[in-house]
Amino acid sequence: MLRAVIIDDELPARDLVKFYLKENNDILVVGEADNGFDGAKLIHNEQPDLVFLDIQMPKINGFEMLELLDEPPSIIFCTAYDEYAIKAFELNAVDYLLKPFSRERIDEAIGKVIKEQVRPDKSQLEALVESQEQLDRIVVKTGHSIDIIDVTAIHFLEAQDDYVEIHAGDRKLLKQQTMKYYEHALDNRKFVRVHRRFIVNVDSIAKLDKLGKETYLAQLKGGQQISVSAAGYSRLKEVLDL
Amino acid sequence: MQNPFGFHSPYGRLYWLAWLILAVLYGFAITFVYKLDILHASVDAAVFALSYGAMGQIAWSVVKFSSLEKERLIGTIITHLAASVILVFIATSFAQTVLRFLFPGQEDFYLFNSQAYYIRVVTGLSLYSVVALIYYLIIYYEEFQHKKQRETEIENHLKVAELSMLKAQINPHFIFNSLNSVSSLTLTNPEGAHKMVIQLADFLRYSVGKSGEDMQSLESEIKAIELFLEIEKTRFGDRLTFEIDCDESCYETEIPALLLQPLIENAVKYGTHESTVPNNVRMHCKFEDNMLTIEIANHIERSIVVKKGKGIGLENVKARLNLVYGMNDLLETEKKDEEFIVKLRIPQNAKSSNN
Repeated sequence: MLRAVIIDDELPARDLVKFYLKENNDILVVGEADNGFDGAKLIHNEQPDLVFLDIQMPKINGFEMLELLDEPPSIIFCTAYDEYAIKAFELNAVDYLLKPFSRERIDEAIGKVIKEQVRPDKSQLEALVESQEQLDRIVVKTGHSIDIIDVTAIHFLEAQDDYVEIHAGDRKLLKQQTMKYYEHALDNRKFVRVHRRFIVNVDSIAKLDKLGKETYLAQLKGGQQISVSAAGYSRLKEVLDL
Repeated sequence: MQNPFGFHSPYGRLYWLAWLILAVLYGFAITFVYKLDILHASVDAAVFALSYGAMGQIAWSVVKFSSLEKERLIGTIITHLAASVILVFIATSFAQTVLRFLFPGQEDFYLFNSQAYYIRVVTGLSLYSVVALIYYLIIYYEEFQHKKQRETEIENHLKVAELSMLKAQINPHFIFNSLNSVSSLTLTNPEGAHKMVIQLADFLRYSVGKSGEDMQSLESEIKAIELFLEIEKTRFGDRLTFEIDCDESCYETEIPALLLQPLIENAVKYGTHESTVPNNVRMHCKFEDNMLTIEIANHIERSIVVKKGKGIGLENVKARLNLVYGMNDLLETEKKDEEFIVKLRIPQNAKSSNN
């Protein structure tokens, strides 16, 4: 028997899935959540085999929630938003149910889980989030707490081996991600890769001091200093219209 | 285009009246200058007025034949020169012949006639030019009027098209999610499902039906908004409550149909869809400085980073108000603590221009 959780912000929607699953002897519903935040906690605590997941939810959406999971279980997306269908399949979701769906349709999806046991491909998540128009927020998990960072509050990003250190407000947060990813995902009119190790929010720059022939040192409003390489300086010039 | 001076045209009589006046003046002139008797002078004047008048009628065909749009200016001038010479020659000779026929063997009159021949030709040519110019003036005036009318029509069409684009479209996500709730309720709470289907039907009937109309009373708009919010309440339970407070005197006021719908949708989207704490959507309508004032407020959870919308809803409402009332300061927004407020002002008395 598969253990399942339902994560959807609408009570009638959860009720419908529960109603369908009540008579399915292959599935046992072990919990439900009405937002991505609680959903991530629920999955962490219950370690279910299968998640019925809505995409549009308060605080963090279904995709962002998956990003927080180390080993995501099998996913069946349940949503009225069919514009996400392609993304969901790139992610290796087992199935994608368009609301409202029939009992036959949900049974078919469960059949696939039992037969194939596919699990989301974590490496695809990156590409997935990248294909979204533009990053407005970044979700970071530190221990048991989850932080949602508004990208406009970010001063700069620093490469730290396999991680990226995000300097936002007066905090530093580590996120397992690549610099290349953020270079593409963040608004390129605001965020510039000024150095192999740094991406800076141009609004945070207080002044630029010349170091070498083509290299600079950026003084940030928060007091930090970051290096600007020759290539970085030319990118910065373009964005700042110097 | 018909000959403006033709037999059936409104200016036809005016044309011949003008010739009558010319004939009378001419008759007086020859009476005084050439000392002709009344009989001769009036017959002479009548014959010439009639033949030049007829020439003027034929000139219309020349104008039509060589319109400036089809030909170059020089071609038109040459055509008119040739036509005028031929027509004036024919008209003058015809008039002379008729006069000779009417007054046979009157040597004095003959002499006068042959002396006056060249003067008559010159006068005929001038009259031809004047008539032709008047024809062109009329043509251009008519075209100008026509063009102006077309432009106004095009402008109106554009405005209607723009307005219909700005009108609220029902969000398909709303429909499918509502249907999902109904599908759930049919199994768990048939009574509730029944109620929701009726609400959904009433709401759709209004928003689909009224989307083609321009103005609606505030009362019927509020009814539709209540239906929408009731449906969303079924979906989101405690996460959504609403209060609509409208002064009695406002109900009959007309506002652009479904104008408020995108604002209410935003209030639910940002207050409820994106938030986990209860959202109370408040709407308040009253008269202030002879304007209908509508305030729509929703709760915002400060700790939440909302994916930025494109602001299309607000911009559309603003653009629509601008098109209907010709004012671009009728919508204001305000962020206050944990509340987002949209304030609309709807001018009264001013006749809406999209009727």
